[in-house]
Amino acid sequence: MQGKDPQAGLIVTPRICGICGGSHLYCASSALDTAWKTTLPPNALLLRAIGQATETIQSIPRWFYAIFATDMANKKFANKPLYDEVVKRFAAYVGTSFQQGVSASGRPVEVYALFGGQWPHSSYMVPGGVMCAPTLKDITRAHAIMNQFRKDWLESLWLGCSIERYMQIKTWDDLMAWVEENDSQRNSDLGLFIRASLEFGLHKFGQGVGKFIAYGTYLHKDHYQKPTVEGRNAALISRSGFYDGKKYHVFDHLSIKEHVGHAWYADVPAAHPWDEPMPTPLQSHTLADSNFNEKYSWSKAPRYMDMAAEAGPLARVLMNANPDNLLPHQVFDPLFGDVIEKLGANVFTRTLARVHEAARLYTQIDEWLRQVDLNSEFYIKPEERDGKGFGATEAARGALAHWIEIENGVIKNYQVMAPTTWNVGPNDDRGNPARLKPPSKAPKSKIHMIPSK
Amino acid sequence: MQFLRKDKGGFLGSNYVSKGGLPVINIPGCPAHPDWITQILVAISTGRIGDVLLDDYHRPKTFFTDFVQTGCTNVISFAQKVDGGFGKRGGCLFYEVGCRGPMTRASCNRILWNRHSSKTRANHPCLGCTEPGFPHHDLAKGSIFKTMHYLGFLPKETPEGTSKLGYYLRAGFEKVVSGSERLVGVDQPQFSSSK
Ligand code: SF4
Repeated sequence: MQGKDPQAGLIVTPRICGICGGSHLYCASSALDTAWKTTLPPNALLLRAIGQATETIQSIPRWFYAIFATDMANKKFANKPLYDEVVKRFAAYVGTSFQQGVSASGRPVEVYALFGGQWPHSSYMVPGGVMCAPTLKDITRAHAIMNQFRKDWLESLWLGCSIERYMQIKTWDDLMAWVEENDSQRNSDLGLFIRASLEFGLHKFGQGVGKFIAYGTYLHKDHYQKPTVEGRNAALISRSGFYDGKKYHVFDHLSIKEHVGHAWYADVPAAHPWDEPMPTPLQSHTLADSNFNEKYSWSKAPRYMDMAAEAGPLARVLMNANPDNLLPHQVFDPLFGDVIEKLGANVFTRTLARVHEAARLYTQIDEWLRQVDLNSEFYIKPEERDGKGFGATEAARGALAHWIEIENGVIKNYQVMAPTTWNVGPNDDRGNPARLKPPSKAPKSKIHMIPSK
Repeated sequence: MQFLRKDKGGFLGSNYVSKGGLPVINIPGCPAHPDWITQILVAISTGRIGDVLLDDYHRPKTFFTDFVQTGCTNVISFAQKVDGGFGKRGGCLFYEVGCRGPMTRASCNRILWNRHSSKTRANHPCLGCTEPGFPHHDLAKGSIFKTMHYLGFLPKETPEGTSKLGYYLRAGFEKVVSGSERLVGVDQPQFSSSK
């Protein structure tokens, strides 16, 4: 995007991904807000948060049924007692829950479309606010659609109980007691997922690097009217942070560097995204011809204070368990502090973290819809200027950020760092791996990895 | 596959036809509406390929003849030259924020997105993503969410099917008449958009 209009990112970056376009837009508009020093009306912050949250909540049933749970129906688990029930519900296309879950995932993005025009690939979040100026019927319809999502899937099929009951769970033991509390919860899709995961042993593999990063998201309507990079952490509803396995650290984007030693770009020293030169792509190789001691990936390797870290829902819910989350607008949910201590990071807890978010997101969307003030403004026209900006969020898959530098009224540098680069990026310049390590030698057949994506 | 922007050619060559005797059918859009894809597949599978007429860019005419403007809830404002803008109810997005609805062929405003809305219904200027050349003006400085003007006030691009001069004359007339009506206090209830 070098040399293009400063707002080019609003059109180009949502199109990077078919699932997290709204998250890219959240970053692109925030990066411009900080560079242009805009003023954001509370309504704009609410409608952006609603866009981000509806996109993330749609991904939960869609990802769970269409991508993850179909693997639990793999023949490999055929000797397990719960296998038949898992196949009956979760088998691709024919499972009794598959169609219902995937169809339900279409509801929340209808709400996104009411405010953004369409999902995916809207550009409705702009520096200074949002394009839309919803009317009463947009808000009431949004409530109705979300309510349908709750009735058709979230409470009926997924939880087997009310959202309120589910949200009382604070510890691993609470969760286990919830599963066994009654047949409705035990036999809900979440109940089955938990029981089958423990039976199949999904809690025994996929440990990762044991360090976690989240940029946090949902800038509070009253705490970010003057967007700055420095003021961002304090304004977040879902917290940012770096957890090193023992301690929480305050997140500072300046501690991030990208390494290209093992990526197909000309070598440059590891640098913060604002300081990175335009990459020079080199010749790539097929997997079979790759030498893992040299360059073997199109992904760069991001590091935080020189450490690899895991991004994603597990990182997010861990930040929410930070006992420092004392301000009224900050989420505090201790469950995953306890889960990590008892079970560690693995395929099961990672997936549990993702689906755990559904109930809270539902209540947040409902609350934010109620807070939209139809008599007040949605957009304040900003003044364009040169400068540097940083915008970040939590995409469904984890920490996502954009960095921009504007010079002479056009883009000089634009960097996007996606969560998957944290998780499956190559080794860094000193040979340290990310969450997924490279194979020790080139594999003969296709790699099958437990997907985080 | 069979075009490079507006020019026929592309990877498969301009004369390509498949074994079934069909050229490449282009379903444009970023993203393409799921209905556009599935309904053409249904047409083929139900033996109606003969009814799928293609335009110069091989787009199915059934979806890509009318403009995005067809069905837009702002057309009265378009006709009467009432400006809309971000964060504001009512008004047309053509004059200030670069809406490409009058130059873009697609059925967004007739079949809607996600069953409920469309860009222009949510006050989002059409970006023209079903037309060759998207993203338009190569994202050059000043081309994004701004209407590019001649002499500071005449839109550089005018609705398809009008001559530039004709458009400017008619538009100028409308703007002056409806503007003066508002000035002298003629009630124009169509523009007092409700909450
Ligand atoms: S120019 Fe755009 S906003 Fe105006 S009527 Fe046409 S499609 Fe609607």
